[in-house]
Formats: sequence, structure tokens, C-alpha cells
Amino acid sequence: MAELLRVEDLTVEFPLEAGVLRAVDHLSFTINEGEAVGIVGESGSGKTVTALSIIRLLAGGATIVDGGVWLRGENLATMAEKEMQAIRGRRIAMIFQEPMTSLNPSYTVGEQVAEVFRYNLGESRSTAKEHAIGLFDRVKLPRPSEMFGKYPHEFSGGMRQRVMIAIALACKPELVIADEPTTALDVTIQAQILSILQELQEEMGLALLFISHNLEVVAQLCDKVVVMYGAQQLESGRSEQIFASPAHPYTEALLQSIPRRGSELHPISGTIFDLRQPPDGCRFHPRCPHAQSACSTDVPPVTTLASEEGEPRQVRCLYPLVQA
Amino acid sequence: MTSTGDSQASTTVDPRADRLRGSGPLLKVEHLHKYFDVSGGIFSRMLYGKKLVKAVDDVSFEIGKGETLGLVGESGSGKSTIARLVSRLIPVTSGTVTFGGIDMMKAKGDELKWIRRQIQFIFQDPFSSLNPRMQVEQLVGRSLTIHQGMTGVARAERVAEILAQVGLAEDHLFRYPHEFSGGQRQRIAIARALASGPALVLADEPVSSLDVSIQAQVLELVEKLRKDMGLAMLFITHDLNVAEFVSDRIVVLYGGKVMESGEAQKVLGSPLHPYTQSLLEARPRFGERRKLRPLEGEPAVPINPGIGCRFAARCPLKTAACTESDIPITDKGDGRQVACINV
Repeated sequence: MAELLRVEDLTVEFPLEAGVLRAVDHLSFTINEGEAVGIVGESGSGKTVTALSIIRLLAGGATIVDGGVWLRGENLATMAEKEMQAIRGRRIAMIFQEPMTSLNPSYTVGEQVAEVFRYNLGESRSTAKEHAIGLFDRVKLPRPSEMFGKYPHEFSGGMRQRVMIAIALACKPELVIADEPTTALDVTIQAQILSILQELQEEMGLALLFISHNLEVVAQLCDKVVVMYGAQQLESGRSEQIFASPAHPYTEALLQSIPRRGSELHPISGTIFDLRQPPDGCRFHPRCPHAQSACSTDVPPVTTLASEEGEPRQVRCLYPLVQA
Repeated sequence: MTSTGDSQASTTVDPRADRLRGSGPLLKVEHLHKYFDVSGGIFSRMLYGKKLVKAVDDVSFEIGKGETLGLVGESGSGKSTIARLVSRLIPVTSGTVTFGGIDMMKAKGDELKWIRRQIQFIFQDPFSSLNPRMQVEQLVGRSLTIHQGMTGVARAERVAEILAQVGLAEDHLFRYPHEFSGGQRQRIAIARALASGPALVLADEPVSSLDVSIQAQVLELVEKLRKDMGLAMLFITHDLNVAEFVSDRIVVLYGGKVMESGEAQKVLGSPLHPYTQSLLEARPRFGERRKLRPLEGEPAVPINPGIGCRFAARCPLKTAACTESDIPITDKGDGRQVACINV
């Protein structure tokens, strides 16, 4: 499989009144054509900022200060805004978490999908409508032509998220970034949305960057996974491997935090550190059950444990749970 | 106000406390109904007739002392409405709720105040359930004043003890909610619920807004306190993992009706009702990556529901008989009840 997107040493900083806040710190991973990659992590780990910096929608004065994002060899980080506009929506599309707020309440959902065809592909009103209705059918909205003239408030959360997927797919992008697309949804609706994404991925050969705090959803959907904590990647590799035998204590701890009947909970003690004052050494060491004295002083390098099917398994830990 | 010593003495001689010691369930809910009239104004009522949302429709269950009942279902299933009815935050349409042998819907005066002390609530969103203008000492201490007449230093000392139980420190006493993270706020909400020394805690999605690691911390805390204090809980959640972890017994709701109930292990381990089965099937899992085969359609909103099974429209086992008459809930032995004619 050919490489589609390469993120290398991506570093993003937000200006503060005093100093800067580094929200993403030297993050690297690749997405091949047609591949589903998951980023997992808790609030504040830098997942969303990573997504927004790939598609260059960073707000609040945030800038990419190091590294870059290459889409088939072109660096998006240094690209002029005008060129970037030709990429957004057409080659990389995004599905946001909140389907309640990401649709415009004063336009019909049909107009909002048709707009993409008209703006990006210069289609006429009637062709755009036809195409929009076709997409509604594709994302399994019931009675697509009737739905075209409805307003977002008439839709449930699951139906709105289908509209968001339709908008994202309109220009047949190569990569779709989905930021917690099912978090606000009921279990059965979540399964519907995930199965639509699975199907589209198969049929259209779509690559997917899937951001979630839900490890089980990522395990179900993604080929590869990147585990983030406090702006850094702690572990990455093939998802079956990582979830079956985590190499980083944080990944292991996250897996043990999922409640299961008949087994003890092992919550991670403490809370995530303040990004303005990251701890010395390994960022996870204050909460790590396996921490040793070196962990509080030495910054662990990213080491490659092994390569599986051409995919390196990497971990940022001085004492990984899986040996090279 | 009375001194601390007096108030504690007065609580220990409370004759009602005996009611909680006898045999029989702590909370008994029988044929609970809650209909909301959503007909709108007089004209739309004339044009379209009366529109009733049957949010809770003939729900019965019991909670024993020290038992946790998990209430599981999707949006609109009536889970939160049940908690509000049980705590008498909203009036019932019909049905009875009995707590410690007292008919809650008829209780008033001292009796009602006693019930309010015995039943406490933990809400889902700790960002909106804590008054931003009150310090932790006030948030938690208020019920100590109302129910036990504690004030001043004695109250602050007691609040500090309760905070220690939920894993917060004494120097958190005089801080405001905005100074805390989501997980810490939920600890404050738990402290507030525990302050009055309740027998039953109603927890409405208490960990749903928290990160995985924080969720585990709060769940562990809830489990520990529940065991230490012998609390009974009504635990509402849409997360089957959480339900499985905390519940002794489970009630599965759909569109205001009970689909299945029984011991947690049995209901989630070998579900009988097709809805429970679909819920479990829809849950993403570790292990083999598989194609999800989700239920079609959306959860039912029970507005003027017709007769028959509420789940029939989405049910893979649906037959003509499912919509011909209302489906009774029947005993399947070993404490399991199922509302389905095809199993």
C-alpha cells in the first residue's frame, strides 16, 4: 500500500500570556491508502489539535513550530492558505464531534450537502441536488429525497451525523478525519455510524483518521493506533497487537480502566498534568505503576520494538512491557 | 440551631429508622406511569388531537437494601424520568413508589423530609449540578444543616471528613466548583449525596462525562463507598460495561417499557429479549475485528404509541402478533422477566 499521509515530528504550540503551551510534541505516524488509523487518548492529550493541524484549521494563534504533514509528498504545514483550500473538503475531509453544532441551523440539510458540489465542483443547482440525494441514500438516510428539504433541528443526532458524513464524502476525498464522531450517540446509533464508515472504507478505498477516547471503538475499526498522552505519542503500531499486549504502561493502564464484570478495576491514580508544566523525565511517570527512579529524570526516547507487516511498533518508555 | 451533639442524638432515636431494618425491599415501584402532554396549544390540540408521550409506561421493580439496580436503555427510554419520579422531583401520572414501607407519593411534613434525607441524587453533569457561587463546604454542608442542624465549625469538620472519604483534601473546603476538574467535581457531588447518610442513592449517568481513567477512579470510589456504607443504588447508564460492573440486577428499558430484567450476569451474559441482544451486539469489542451488524432505525419516541411491542419496528424477530396486542412481561424463572412473545 502506498503512503498517503505522513505526519513527522509535528509540533504545535499555543501562545500564552507568559510563554507557550505545547499541545502536540513531535508526533509522527503515517496513513497508507485505504487504511484506518486511530488516535486514542484522554481529554487534553492533543488528539483534536493533531487533527486540526493536519487540515490546517488551528485557531487561537496556534502554530506548527516544527515538523510537518505530507500528503503524497506535499507539505501541508507550509502550504499557502489558497492551496490549502483546494485540499480541504476535496482531498481531506473532516467529520466533527458535535453534529448538533456543526450544521448550519438556517439552511436545509440538502442545501448544505449540495453546496459542497456547487462550490467545490462547480455543479449546477439541479445536478448538485441529485448528487446530494444520492449521497443521502449512501449514508442510509431513510427517504433521501424527502430529507433533502429538512432542517437540522428536525433530525436526530444520528441522522445529523449521517449528513456530516455525506458532506465529508461529497468530493470523494482520499482521507477522512473523524473526530469523536460517535461520542454523543446511543449505542445502537453508534454501531450504525461505525458500520457506515466501515462500508464506505471498503467500497471507496477511503483512508480514515479516527480520533476517539473509546478504545473498543478504535479496536473495532482501525488497522493502526497511536496512543497519546500529554501531547506526546506513547505507543503506536498495529491495533490488534497493541490492545492484545500493550508495550507502554499507560496503554495497559487505560485497558485496565475499562470496567468489566467480575474483574477488579485498576484506575490510573492522579490526574493528567498541566501542559504548561510538564513533569521531568517521562510524562506519565507520576501516575505510572511501573515507574523507576530513572523515569523521573531521563526523557525516554521513541524506540522501535519490531516491525509487523511493514509497520513499526514504537514505544516511548524506558522500561517497555514488551521487549524488542 | 441546635448543637451537633443534640442533633446526632435526635437522629439516632428517629423511629422511622426502624423501617429500614425490617425485611422486604427498600424501594418498591409498582405500575409506575408518567405521561407528558405535548399537544401544544388549543388549536393544535383541536387539529391534531391529544399527543401524549408515554415516557414511563407500567414500570415495576424493587431495590433491596444494599443492592444496586442498573437501569439500562438508550435516549428516550425513560431512565432519567424514572429517577425523577422515584425521588419525587416530578409527580407521577399513576402508580406507587414505596420507600421503607412509606407511600412516597402521599408522604408530607416530617415524613417527606426524612425520605428526602434517605434518598439522594448524583447527576450526570458535574458542571451544571454544582452551584458555581457556593464553596465546597456550603455545597456539601447544606444538607448537614437541613437534616442534622449542624452549623459552624462542627459542620466544616464533618464536611472535611466526608471529603476525605471521597478522596478530596481539607484544603478543598473553601474552594469553588470552577477550581476543580470534572472528576473532582463528581467527587464533590458524591460527597454531597452522602452527607445526609442516605440509604438509597439515585445516580443518573454519573461517570458518562468523564475520561476513561477518571471514570474508573470514580466507579471504584462509588463501589467502595457503597460497600462500606451499605448503600442501595439505582444506577442509570447507557454504557453496558459500566452497568455490568456496578449492577446486581438490571432492568432494560425501551420506549418507556421494561423489555427484560433480572440478575446482571444473566441479562447481559445470556440475554433473552431481542432488544437486549441487539444492544450487546452493537457494543464494540476488543479481539477479532468484525463487521458490525447494527439494528436499523432510531430508538422509539413513545408519542401516542399504538398497541403492541414498542420495539417491534426495529425487531429482527418481529411477527404479526407483536403489534396485535400489548405484550405482557412474563416470568422466565430464576428471577428473570421478559416482555417478548417470541422467546
